[in-house]
Amino acid sequence: MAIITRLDRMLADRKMKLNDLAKKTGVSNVNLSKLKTGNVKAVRFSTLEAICKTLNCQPGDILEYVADEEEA
Amino acid sequence: MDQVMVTRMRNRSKTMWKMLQVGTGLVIVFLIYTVGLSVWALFLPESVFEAKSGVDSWWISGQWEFVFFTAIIPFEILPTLGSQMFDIQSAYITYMIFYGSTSALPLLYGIKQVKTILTSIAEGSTPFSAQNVNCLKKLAFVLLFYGFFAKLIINLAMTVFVTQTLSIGVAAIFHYFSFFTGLLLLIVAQVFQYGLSLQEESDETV
Repeated sequence: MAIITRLDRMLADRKMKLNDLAKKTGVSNVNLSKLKTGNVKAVRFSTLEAICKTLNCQPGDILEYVADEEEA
Repeated sequence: MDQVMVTRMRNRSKTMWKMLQVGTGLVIVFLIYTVGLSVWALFLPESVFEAKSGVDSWWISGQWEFVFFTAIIPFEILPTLGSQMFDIQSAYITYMIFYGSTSALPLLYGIKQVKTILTSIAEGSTPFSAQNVNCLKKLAFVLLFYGFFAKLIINLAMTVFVTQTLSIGVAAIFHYFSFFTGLLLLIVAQVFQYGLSLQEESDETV
Protein backbone atom coordinates (compact mmCIF):
# COMPACT_ATOMS: atom_id res chain seq x y z
CA MET A 1 0.00 0.00 0.00
CA ALA A 2 1.45 3.36 -1.04
CA ILE A 3 -0.31 5.29 1.72
CA ILE A 4 0.95 4.53 5.24
CA THR A 5 -0.32 5.88 8.54
CA ARG A 6 1.92 7.57 11.10
CA LEU A 7 -0.63 7.54 13.88
CA ASP A 8 1.63 5.55 16.22
CA ARG A 9 4.41 8.13 15.79
CA MET A 10 2.02 11.03 16.43
CA LEU A 11 0.66 9.29 19.54
CA ALA A 12 4.19 8.71 20.82
CA ASP A 13 5.07 12.41 20.18
CA ARG A 14 1.98 13.50 22.12
CA LYS A 15 2.59 10.83 24.79
CA MET A 16 -0.97 9.67 24.33
CA LYS A 17 -2.46 6.18 24.35
CA LEU A 18 -4.82 4.84 21.72
CA ASN A 19 -7.53 4.45 24.37
CA ASP A 20 -7.31 8.15 25.29
CA LEU A 21 -7.50 9.15 21.64
CA ALA A 22 -10.55 6.91 21.20
CA LYS A 23 -12.26 8.56 24.17
CA LYS A 24 -11.45 12.11 23.01
CA THR A 25 -12.35 11.63 19.34
CA GLY A 26 -15.36 9.36 19.80
CA VAL A 27 -13.90 6.96 17.21
CA SER A 28 -13.93 3.34 18.41
CA ASN A 29 -10.77 1.77 19.70
CA VAL A 30 -11.06 -1.02 17.13
CA ASN A 31 -11.24 1.43 14.23
CA LEU A 32 -8.31 3.46 15.51
CA SER A 33 -6.33 0.27 15.93
CA LYS A 34 -7.13 -0.67 12.32
CA LEU A 35 -6.05 2.78 11.20
CA LYS A 36 -2.80 2.51 13.18
CA THR A 37 -1.92 -0.82 11.62
CA GLY A 38 -2.99 0.33 8.16
CA ASN A 39 -5.74 -2.30 7.82
CA VAL A 40 -8.21 0.09 6.25
CA LYS A 41 -9.21 0.95 2.71
CA ALA A 42 -10.61 4.42 3.35
CA VAL A 43 -10.74 7.11 6.02
CA ARG A 44 -13.72 9.42 6.46
CA PHE A 45 -13.02 13.15 6.56
CA SER A 46 -14.94 13.31 9.84
CA THR A 47 -12.58 10.73 11.41
CA LEU A 48 -9.53 12.55 10.10
CA GLU A 49 -10.89 15.86 11.38
CA ALA A 50 -11.52 14.45 14.86
CA ILE A 51 -8.01 12.96 15.06
CA CYS A 52 -6.32 16.14 13.77
CA LYS A 53 -8.33 18.25 16.20
CA THR A 54 -7.37 16.08 19.17
CA LEU A 55 -3.72 15.67 18.25
CA ASN A 56 -3.47 19.26 17.01
CA CYS A 57 -1.84 18.24 13.75
CA GLN A 58 -2.37 18.20 9.98
CA PRO A 59 -3.69 15.21 7.97
CA GLY A 60 -0.25 15.03 6.36
CA ASP A 61 1.25 14.31 9.77
CA ILE A 62 -0.86 11.16 10.04
CA LEU A 63 -0.86 9.97 6.44
CA GLU A 64 2.21 9.60 4.31
CA TYR A 65 2.70 8.57 0.70
CA VAL A 66 5.53 6.12 0.06
CA ALA A 67 6.13 5.06 -3.51
CA ASP A 68 5.97 1.30 -4.07
CA GLU A 69 9.20 -0.36 -5.13
CA GLU A 70 7.73 -1.25 -8.52
CA GLU A 71 6.67 2.36 -9.10
CA ALA A 72 9.98 3.83 -7.94
CA MET B 1 -29.68 3.68 9.38
CA ASP B 2 -32.20 4.78 11.96
CA GLN B 3 -31.93 2.61 15.09
CA VAL B 4 -35.72 2.42 15.49
CA MET B 5 -36.03 1.15 11.92
CA VAL B 6 -33.33 -1.48 12.52
CA THR B 7 -35.08 -2.71 15.68
CA ARG B 8 -38.40 -2.86 13.83
CA MET B 9 -36.77 -4.83 11.01
CA ARG B 10 -35.27 -7.30 13.49
CA ASN B 11 -38.59 -7.80 15.27
CA ARG B 12 -40.36 -8.31 11.95
CA SER B 13 -37.73 -10.87 10.94
CA LYS B 14 -38.21 -12.74 14.22
CA THR B 15 -42.00 -12.83 13.68
CA MET B 16 -41.60 -14.03 10.10
CA TRP B 17 -39.11 -16.67 11.30
CA LYS B 18 -41.68 -17.99 13.80
CA MET B 19 -44.37 -18.05 11.10
CA LEU B 20 -42.04 -19.99 8.81
CA GLN B 21 -41.33 -22.41 11.65
CA VAL B 22 -45.08 -23.12 11.79
CA GLY B 23 -45.07 -23.35 7.97
CA THR B 24 -42.26 -25.93 8.11
CA GLY B 25 -44.31 -28.02 10.52
CA LEU B 26 -47.36 -27.83 8.26
CA VAL B 27 -45.35 -28.84 5.19
CA ILE B 28 -43.86 -31.82 7.07
CA VAL B 29 -47.39 -32.84 8.15
CA PHE B 30 -48.54 -32.50 4.51
CA LEU B 31 -45.63 -34.67 3.31
CA ILE B 32 -46.30 -37.34 5.93
CA TYR B 33 -50.04 -37.17 5.12
CA THR B 34 -49.59 -37.64 1.35
CA VAL B 35 -46.92 -40.33 1.58
CA GLY B 36 -48.68 -42.05 4.49
CA LEU B 37 -52.04 -42.22 2.70
CA SER B 38 -50.33 -43.49 -0.45
CA VAL B 39 -48.59 -46.27 1.43
CA TRP B 40 -51.87 -47.15 3.15
CA ALA B 41 -53.68 -47.15 -0.19
CA LEU B 42 -51.17 -49.74 -1.44
CA PHE B 43 -52.64 -52.35 0.88
CA LEU B 44 -56.30 -51.67 0.10
CA PRO B 45 -58.38 -53.52 -2.49
CA GLU B 46 -58.77 -51.84 -5.89
CA SER B 47 -62.55 -51.65 -5.54
CA VAL B 48 -62.24 -49.03 -2.77
CA PHE B 49 -61.31 -46.33 -5.28
CA GLU B 50 -63.51 -44.72 -7.89
CA ALA B 51 -62.85 -41.92 -10.39
CA LYS B 52 -65.24 -39.26 -11.65
CA SER B 53 -64.50 -36.94 -14.52
CA GLY B 54 -65.01 -33.26 -13.60
CA VAL B 55 -64.75 -30.12 -15.73
CA ASP B 56 -60.96 -30.00 -15.87
CA SER B 57 -59.84 -32.77 -13.55
CA TRP B 58 -60.34 -36.28 -12.28
CA TRP B 59 -61.90 -36.69 -8.84
CA ILE B 60 -60.52 -39.82 -7.30
CA SER B 61 -62.09 -40.86 -4.04
CA GLY B 62 -62.29 -43.83 -1.79
CA GLN B 63 -63.34 -44.75 1.72
CA TRP B 64 -61.93 -47.41 3.98
CA GLU B 65 -63.68 -47.62 7.33
CA PHE B 66 -63.37 -44.07 8.71
CA VAL B 67 -60.61 -42.84 6.38
CA PHE B 68 -61.36 -40.91 3.18
CA PHE B 69 -58.95 -40.93 0.28
CA THR B 70 -59.37 -38.01 -2.12
CA ALA B 71 -57.25 -36.62 -4.93
CA ILE B 72 -58.07 -34.10 -7.64
CA ILE B 73 -55.86 -34.78 -10.63
CA PRO B 74 -55.93 -32.20 -13.45
CA PHE B 75 -56.48 -33.49 -17.00
CA GLU B 76 -53.07 -32.08 -18.00
CA ILE B 77 -51.53 -34.65 -15.61
CA LEU B 78 -53.96 -37.51 -16.22
CA PRO B 79 -55.61 -37.22 -19.65
CA THR B 80 -59.31 -37.85 -20.27
CA LEU B 81 -58.86 -41.45 -21.27
CA GLY B 82 -61.91 -42.85 -19.56
CA SER B 83 -61.62 -44.32 -16.11
CA GLN B 84 -61.54 -47.89 -17.43
CA MET B 85 -58.30 -47.06 -19.30
CA PHE B 86 -56.18 -46.71 -16.17
CA ASP B 87 -55.85 -48.27 -12.74
CA ILE B 88 -57.50 -45.78 -10.34
CA GLN B 89 -55.62 -47.02 -7.29
CA SER B 90 -52.23 -46.69 -9.04
CA ALA B 91 -53.21 -43.21 -10.24
CA TYR B 92 -54.09 -42.16 -6.68
CA ILE B 93 -50.91 -43.59 -5.16
CA THR B 94 -48.59 -42.24 -7.88
CA TYR B 95 -50.14 -38.77 -7.86
CA MET B 96 -50.13 -38.45 -4.08
CA ILE B 97 -46.53 -39.62 -3.68
CA PHE B 98 -45.09 -37.52 -6.52
CA TYR B 99 -47.29 -34.47 -5.92
CA GLY B 100 -46.51 -34.56 -2.20
CA SER B 101 -42.77 -34.95 -2.62
CA THR B 102 -42.30 -32.53 -5.54
CA SER B 103 -44.27 -29.86 -3.65
CA ALA B 104 -43.08 -30.40 -0.11
CA LEU B 105 -39.35 -31.07 -0.57
CA PRO B 106 -38.54 -27.91 -2.61
CA LEU B 107 -40.78 -25.95 -0.24
CA LEU B 108 -38.91 -27.22 2.81
CA TYR B 109 -35.57 -26.41 1.18
CA GLY B 110 -36.81 -22.93 0.21
CA ILE B 111 -38.15 -22.23 3.70
CA LYS B 112 -34.77 -23.29 5.15
CA GLN B 113 -33.00 -20.70 2.97
CA VAL B 114 -35.45 -17.92 3.89
CA LYS B 115 -35.08 -18.80 7.57
CA THR B 116 -31.28 -18.51 7.30
CA ILE B 117 -31.64 -15.02 5.79
CA LEU B 118 -34.14 -13.97 8.46
CA THR B 119 -31.87 -15.30 11.22
CA SER B 120 -28.98 -13.17 9.97
CA ILE B 121 -31.23 -10.08 10.01
CA ALA B 122 -32.72 -10.91 13.42
CA GLU B 123 -29.25 -11.39 14.92
CA GLY B 124 -28.44 -7.84 13.94
CA SER B 125 -25.79 -8.54 11.36
CA THR B 126 -26.07 -7.03 7.90
CA PRO B 127 -28.24 -8.82 5.35
CA PHE B 128 -25.51 -8.20 2.76
CA SER B 129 -23.37 -11.25 3.52
CA ALA B 130 -21.94 -13.98 1.32
CA GLN B 131 -24.13 -16.50 3.17
CA ASN B 132 -27.31 -14.61 2.26
CA VAL B 133 -26.25 -14.25 -1.37
CA ASN B 134 -25.79 -18.04 -1.47
CA CYS B 135 -29.17 -18.58 0.18
CA LEU B 136 -30.88 -16.34 -2.38
CA LYS B 137 -29.16 -18.19 -5.23
CA LYS B 138 -30.23 -21.56 -3.80
CA LEU B 139 -33.79 -20.25 -3.40
CA ALA B 140 -33.78 -19.03 -7.00
CA PHE B 141 -32.47 -22.37 -8.27
CA VAL B 142 -35.00 -24.39 -6.29
CA LEU B 143 -37.80 -22.24 -7.77
CA LEU B 144 -36.37 -22.67 -11.27
CA PHE B 145 -36.08 -26.42 -10.64
CA TYR B 146 -39.68 -26.53 -9.43
CA GLY B 147 -40.85 -24.43 -12.37
CA PHE B 148 -39.10 -26.69 -14.87
CA PHE B 149 -39.34 -30.17 -13.39
CA ALA B 150 -42.12 -30.54 -10.80
CA LYS B 151 -44.99 -31.04 -13.24
CA LEU B 152 -42.75 -32.94 -15.65
CA ILE B 153 -41.75 -35.43 -12.94
CA ILE B 154 -45.43 -36.00 -11.98
CA ASN B 155 -46.35 -36.36 -15.64
CA LEU B 156 -43.59 -38.85 -16.35
CA ALA B 157 -44.48 -40.80 -13.20
CA MET B 158 -48.12 -40.98 -14.32
CA THR B 159 -46.98 -42.08 -17.77
CA VAL B 160 -44.72 -44.83 -16.41
CA PHE B 161 -46.88 -46.12 -13.54
CA VAL B 162 -50.45 -45.41 -14.68
CA THR B 163 -51.35 -44.64 -18.28
CA GLN B 164 -48.34 -45.93 -20.21
CA THR B 165 -49.35 -43.22 -22.71
CA LEU B 166 -47.05 -40.26 -23.21
CA SER B 167 -49.07 -37.06 -23.62
CA ILE B 168 -47.19 -34.02 -22.39
CA GLY B 169 -47.97 -30.48 -23.50
CA VAL B 170 -46.06 -27.29 -22.61
CA ALA B 171 -48.72 -26.29 -20.07
CA ALA B 172 -48.25 -29.64 -18.37
CA ILE B 173 -44.53 -29.05 -17.89
CA PHE B 174 -43.94 -25.44 -16.86
CA HIS B 175 -44.91 -23.67 -13.67
CA TYR B 176 -44.58 -20.22 -15.20
CA PHE B 177 -45.04 -18.41 -11.92
CA SER B 178 -42.25 -20.22 -10.06
CA PHE B 179 -40.02 -20.06 -13.11
CA PHE B 180 -40.25 -16.25 -13.36
CA THR B 181 -40.05 -15.83 -9.58
CA GLY B 182 -36.84 -17.87 -9.69
CA LEU B 183 -35.43 -15.62 -12.40
CA LEU B 184 -36.39 -12.54 -10.38
CA LEU B 185 -34.68 -13.98 -7.31
CA LEU B 186 -31.51 -14.59 -9.33
CA ILE B 187 -31.53 -10.85 -10.13
CA VAL B 188 -32.10 -10.04 -6.44
CA ALA B 189 -29.13 -12.30 -5.61
CA GLN B 190 -26.99 -10.25 -8.03
CA VAL B 191 -28.19 -7.05 -6.34
CA PHE B 192 -27.21 -8.55 -2.98
CA GLN B 193 -23.81 -9.46 -4.43
CA TYR B 194 -23.30 -5.79 -5.29
CA GLY B 195 -24.59 -4.84 -1.81
CA LEU B 196 -22.01 -7.23 -0.35
CA SER B 197 -19.14 -5.44 -2.10
CA LEU B 198 -20.48 -2.08 -0.87
CA GLN B 199 -20.80 -3.51 2.64
CA GLU B 200 -17.18 -4.71 2.58
CA GLU B 201 -16.06 -1.27 1.44
CA SER B 202 -18.07 0.34 4.21
CA ASP B 203 -16.66 -2.10 6.80
CA GLU B 204 -13.10 -1.23 5.80
CA THR B 205 -13.72 2.50 6.12
CA VAL B 206 -12.98 4.10 9.51
